[in-house]
Formats: sequence, structure tokens, C-alpha cells
Amino acid sequence: MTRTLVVLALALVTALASHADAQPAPSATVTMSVDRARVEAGDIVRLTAEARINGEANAGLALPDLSAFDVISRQVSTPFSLRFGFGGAQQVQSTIRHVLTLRARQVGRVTLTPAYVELGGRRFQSEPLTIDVGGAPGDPAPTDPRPTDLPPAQRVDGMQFDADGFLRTWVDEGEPYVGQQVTVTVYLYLARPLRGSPQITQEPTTDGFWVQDLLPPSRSLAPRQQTMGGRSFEVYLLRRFAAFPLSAGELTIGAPAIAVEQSGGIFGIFGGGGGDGTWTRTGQPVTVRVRELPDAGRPRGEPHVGALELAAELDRAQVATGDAVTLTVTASGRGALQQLRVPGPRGDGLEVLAPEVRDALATPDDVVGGTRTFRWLVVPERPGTYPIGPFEVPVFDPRAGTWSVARAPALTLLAAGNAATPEEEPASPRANAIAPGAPIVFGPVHTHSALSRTYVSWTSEPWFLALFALGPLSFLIGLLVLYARKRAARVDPRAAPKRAKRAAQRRLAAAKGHAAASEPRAFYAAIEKALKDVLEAKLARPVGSLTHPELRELCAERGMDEDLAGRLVDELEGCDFARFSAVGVSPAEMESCLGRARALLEGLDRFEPTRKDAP
Amino acid sequence: MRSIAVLCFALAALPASAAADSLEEIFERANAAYFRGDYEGAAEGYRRLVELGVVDADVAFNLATAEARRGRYGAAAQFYERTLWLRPGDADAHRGLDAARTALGRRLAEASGEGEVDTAPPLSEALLGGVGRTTLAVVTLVTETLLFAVLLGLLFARREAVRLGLGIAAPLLAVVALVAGVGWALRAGVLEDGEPAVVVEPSTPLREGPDAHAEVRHHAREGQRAWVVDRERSWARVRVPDLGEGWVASEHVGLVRP
Repeated sequence: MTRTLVVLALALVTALASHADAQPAPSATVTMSVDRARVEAGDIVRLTAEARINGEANAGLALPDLSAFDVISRQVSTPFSLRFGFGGAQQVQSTIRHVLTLRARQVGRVTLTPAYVELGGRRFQSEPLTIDVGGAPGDPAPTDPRPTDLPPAQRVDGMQFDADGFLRTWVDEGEPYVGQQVTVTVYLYLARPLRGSPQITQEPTTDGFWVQDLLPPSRSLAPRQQTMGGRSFEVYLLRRFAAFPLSAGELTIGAPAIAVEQSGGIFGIFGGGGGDGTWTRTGQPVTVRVRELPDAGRPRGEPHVGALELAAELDRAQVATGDAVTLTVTASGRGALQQLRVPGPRGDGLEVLAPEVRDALATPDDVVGGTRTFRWLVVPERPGTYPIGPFEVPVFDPRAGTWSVARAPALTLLAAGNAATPEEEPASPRANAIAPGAPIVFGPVHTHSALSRTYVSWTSEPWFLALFALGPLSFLIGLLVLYARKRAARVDPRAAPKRAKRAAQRRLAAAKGHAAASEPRAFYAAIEKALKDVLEAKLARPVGSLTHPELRELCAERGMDEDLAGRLVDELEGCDFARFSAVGVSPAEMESCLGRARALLEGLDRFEPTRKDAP
Repeated sequence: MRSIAVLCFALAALPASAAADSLEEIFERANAAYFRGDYEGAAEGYRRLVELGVVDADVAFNLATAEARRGRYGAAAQFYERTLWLRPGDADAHRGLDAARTALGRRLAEASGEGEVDTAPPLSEALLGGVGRTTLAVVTLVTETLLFAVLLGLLFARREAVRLGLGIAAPLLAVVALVAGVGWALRAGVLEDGEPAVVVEPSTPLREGPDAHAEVRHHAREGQRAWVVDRERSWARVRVPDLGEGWVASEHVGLVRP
């Protein structure tokens, strides 16, 4: 037996050892996912590809073609673990995870081919993914120069290359026309990711330009990758603004400067370049050659560069002489609208006050545009018909190099009535007194009327007058109800005890509620009131002023049996006592009192007084 | 048979439709005349609307304005008053009425060296300001109903606190109801002796009787307030404050209310 056991144990150990020595074939599980399957063109989508690999530590995860997206950021992590199995054999388990932040570039359905790893000649792959990119046709195309696109790496103007990092100032138009938008962008190129907030110590100067910021006041710095000079850089967007040159000639955008604190290891990535723990860089100035607007075909007037549409309207086409009307001219389009001037209306007999100007600017796709609204108060000083406008502004399109005219058609203002100067609007109807010698103004007339042929005031309608009777009528009904009650009580003496009994039942119910709420004072007051009301109704006289002995005597006189009278007076005494020393009264006592009161009420209900006492 | 009925119905409806169209046209033509500066034509158009039965504050206002533009300030005052009766608190009408009275005063001053202008508002106007009839009527109704509800509550309420509250509320409500009711009555002209009117002709004679040869007692100024207390043929017996009563030709006074 012992020999058999030893053989079996040896066989088992051998089998386990041989199993541990056998290396399993490497395998992997590859998954790929996105945080949303439908996005709009230009939106951000996060792609996660992960491979869990058993038995191989140096495998690579191949990602699908991402040419339909801009890769904004990429994170790669490769945690792995070693496990030692029975018999000393090791098992490798590793994970490769790629997290990419992508921006959809084109509208349509994009299919991502599976991500995969190859292990020992075998391919392990994920499922393919489909992403629907929505948006209007013509939305950002791959070839469009998007605002966040980086400047080409082949040109090195506006920068001084440094392998650790440098500032780069980029302008999208080196030879603009006067008034044409030049988009200026300042980038920070760093060889390593930035882990702090850079401080711009010197803003780029813009003398000779009218400037409009294009970036929001607060935003996060998200880097993009670009290779320059054979070295990969993290590129950060620091500044972007639209600059409109105000005059022809060479204009310079000054060099920016930046400082980044290195202390505490927050930015400990460079060995030199700054002292005292601060890394600093200064950029390069950029000069643009501004061209005059072409004279060929140029209309007369102060021009606008970009695109423009004009609209004009009067708030009233007919006014009394001396009344003011509001003329509104709205200019909408692209370009330096805040520099736009529209000449006001002129005319003999027209007084035009200084305009009120309002701007509503926007920068969609980093192009400055919006609306500029001019409002004039126009006062016709004499009766007559006044043409207002037309309003025209020459417009130069710098892309096409052509001139055009933005135009709002002419309006007509009709003024009628006596010549008068406008007077102040009175604060109230009683403040209309006209000063001695001041002009008297009538009108203008109302141009809309209901032309009603009947004057109906609903306050003179019969139903409205009838409503007045409602109050007195209700009061009268109330009086009648009271009278009827009293009369009923007089006619039927038995009615009073019945009513008192019903009232007592209600009081007992209320007392039960007080008992449940642990309100002994209210409880005993309700019990006492219920008993006394019924007794008074039976005896047909008040008993509130009687002492308890007097009450006992009265009950005896009216034929109440001694037991009932005694219990009644005792209970009333108990209530009195409990009301004034209610502390410590238990719910059980109140419940018991409630039962006794019910019994007393039944007794009183059966009690028939033998005779009335003297009034 | 059915076709005949439809035809009859259409024919019956035709005059009303035509009249509605013509009212619009008259109004538009009168407005156009006003803006052309033809105030006489404008006033004629608006007055035609009034004669056709239009009872409208805008038409009354326009007629007042057109009359004022042509210098008939008495008629202007009459129709500004009518506008205010139809639409109490109308700021334009208040302004126009004051302007018409001022113009009357200046004209009188130019003619006689001194001018007296009837600027004191009627009693109801002085007491109630811009509060309209409708507002007063509603306030009266609400407070009266509340008052009787409170009295009803006093009949049945047993709790002392409730009775005390109701007892305080009742006299307050009674006072408010009384004031609002009196104001409403004043505004509605219940307490007035006669129909309110305005003298529309300059120096209108107040005669002893309804006859052109009757003795003249006084002369009323254009724009003066008056109350028509009686009528006989084409004559109206009017009461003019400070002057007393007398008979005037009906066309020399204009009623404020339509």
C-alpha cells in the first residue's frame, strides 16, 4: 500500500514538472474603441487601441490608417508583468495601449481598419471601426488651411532654430493690401512636452496695424507634433490675432519673448538657455510689405477691404414736421468693420444728429467679420418729401483683386405739418403745460385705427352690474341660514342636545388626535368642553360658572342618578387637575379618560332631566 | 331654392362689407390729406367717419389734431376730450388738449390783450387723475364683494383672532369700496347735471331762450366747458361754469361723449 502511494506521488510530481516546463504559444487580445461613433467635422474624438499579450514582451501594436484625421495628441503606455509558474517557469503578460486624440477633417463615413499585433507568425487583430463625420458639404476639407494647422516646416522665417526650443511668429500673408486681414500666430516649439504655463514676457508689437484677437481669453495648451531639422517638436499655440495694416509700406510685427520657470522639476528638461531657474527665449520680428489698394476701377469714397453688404431703414416713413425719425444703416461682412465709416444723410431742411454706432464682431474660422450698425436721429425741419440715401461704400476684395460697391437703396421721408421745434416728452399727462412763447405742436395723427362703430364698455354690461349683487346676496343668505338655525333650536328643544352630542363626538375625535400627539392640555380641555356642552344642552342652562359641589347638587335636583352625577363631576375635576398639571400624563391615562368620557356621554344621552330649574 | 337663399344672404351682407371697406378708405384718404398738409380735407374725412358711427379713440384723436392744425381749437378740445373719455389716460390726447387750450389762450390774448384759459380739469379728473372708469369699476366690484364676504365671515366665525381680523378688514374695505364707487360714478358722469360738452365757436352767445332774437345773457369762450341740460329743436340749453345757463345754437357746442 505504501509502495503504491509513493509511486503515485512520483508520477504526479513528474507530470506537473513536465507541464510547467512546456511554454504556451504566445497569444493576444486586441481591442479598439472610440468615445463616440458620430462627430461633426472639426470635432474631437478619442481613439483607444489596446493589446493584451501573453508570452511576448516585445510585440508592437499596429494602428489603422488615420489620414482622415488630424492627430492632436498621442499617449502610449506599455505596462507588463511577469508571473512565475509552478516549477520556476516564468510567464510574461504585457499590455500596449495607444490613446489618440483625433480631429475629424472631412465629412463622410470613415472606416478604421483593425489594429493588430503579430506574434509568432500569427496576427491578432481587433474589430474594424466606423465613424460618421457629419457637417455641411464643403466643411473643412483636408487641404483647407485650418486655423490650427501648423506652418510649413520647410520655411524658417520668423524663428531662430534651437534644438531645445524656440518661438516662431507666422503670418499668413506677407504682402497684404492696406486694410487686408493678416493672421499672425506665435508658436512655441519645444523638444519635450511642457509641464508648466509659459509666461509671455514681451508681446509682439503691432505698430501700424489695427488688431483683433482671435483666441479666447482662457484656453488649454494642447500640443501638436512637427518635425523640423530632423527633430520632433511639441508645438504650442501661444498667440493668434488678426492684424489689419493701416498704411502702405513695410510694417514690422515685433519679436515676442517667453519665460518658463524651471524650479522644482516642473520644467527640468533643458540643460541651459536660462539662468536662475528660468528658461527664456525671444522670437524674431516679422516684416510684411503692405501694398496700396489698386487705383484701377476704384470707386469714390472711403473703401472697405474684405466683403460688405449694406441695409438701411427708417422707423417711420411719415412724421410731423419737427418729429425725429431713426435711420438705421447696417453693414455686415468681413474685414475691419470697426474701421468702417458710412457717411450720414444730408439734405436741405434735414437736421441729422451724430450717429450711435454699435459693433457686433465675430471671428468664425479666424476671419474677422460681423456687423456694424449706425443709427442717426433725423429731424425734418420743414414739411416736404426728403430722399434719404442711397448709401454706398467701395469694397475691395483682396483675394480677387477687384473693386465693387456695397449699396443700400435710397429711402423717402415724408414730413407734414406746421414748422415747429420738437418739445420734450412730458413725464406725465399733467406735465404738459407749454411754456410761454414755446411753440405749440399738434400731432402727428395715428395711422392705425380699429374704426369701431360701437363703444362697448363691459362695465356697463348687465352681467357686470349683476356681479355687484353677488356679495349682498351671499350675505343675505348667510343671515337667513343663521335665522333658520336659531328658529329651529327654538321650535324643537330636543334639537339642542342632539347638536351638542354631535359636537361632543367631534370634540372626542379631536381629543383622540391630541392624545396621539401627546398634547395633554388640549386633550383634557376638549374632554371637559364636550362633557359640559352636552350637560348644558340637557339642562338647558349654562353650568360653566358653577363649582363642582353646586354642579353635583344641580344634577341631583334635575333627577340625575347619583352614580352618573358623581362620575361626571369627578371626571370634570380630573380634567381640571390634569390641565394644570399635565406634565407626566401618559398616553395610557389619556386613552382611559377618553373611554370614561364616552361612557359618560352615553349616560348623559339617556338622562332625561325631571324639571327645569328657575331661570 | 337654396341658391336663392345664398344670393339673398350675399346681398344682405354686401352693404356691411362695402361700408367696412369705405371706412378704411375714408380713414386712409384723411390720413393722406393730413400728411399733404390738407388739414381741412383731413378733418372732413375724420368727421365723416364720426358721422358714419365710428366711435374710436384714434379717429377722435386724429379729428382733434386736424382741427387744431386748421386753427379750430375749440373743436380740437372737444375731440381731445372725447379721446380721453374713450381711452382714459391717453398721453397724446392729454398733450393735444393742453396744446389746444394754450393756443386758445394765446389767440384770446392777441385779440383782447389778455387771455383766460380754462385749464382747471373737471372734478373727476382733479380727484382721480389718470385712473380710468374700468379700473374704478373693477376696484369697486372687488372691494364690495370682499366686504360682503368679510361680513359673512363675521356671522359664522367663532375664533376671536379671526373675528378681530375680519372686524378690522371690514371698515377698510368699506372705505375703499366707497371711494372707488364714488370715483366710478364721477367718471361715468352719473353725478353730472347734463351732458358734458365744449364750446366750439368763438364768443358764443348764451341767450334767454331758444331763439336767434332772444336776449343775450353772456358770451362763452371757445373751448370752454359746458353741460347740455336741455334741447329744443336746433337749440341747446347749456350750463357754463361762472356764466350760468343759456341757450346756444346746437352747432356751437360739441358733446364730449359720442
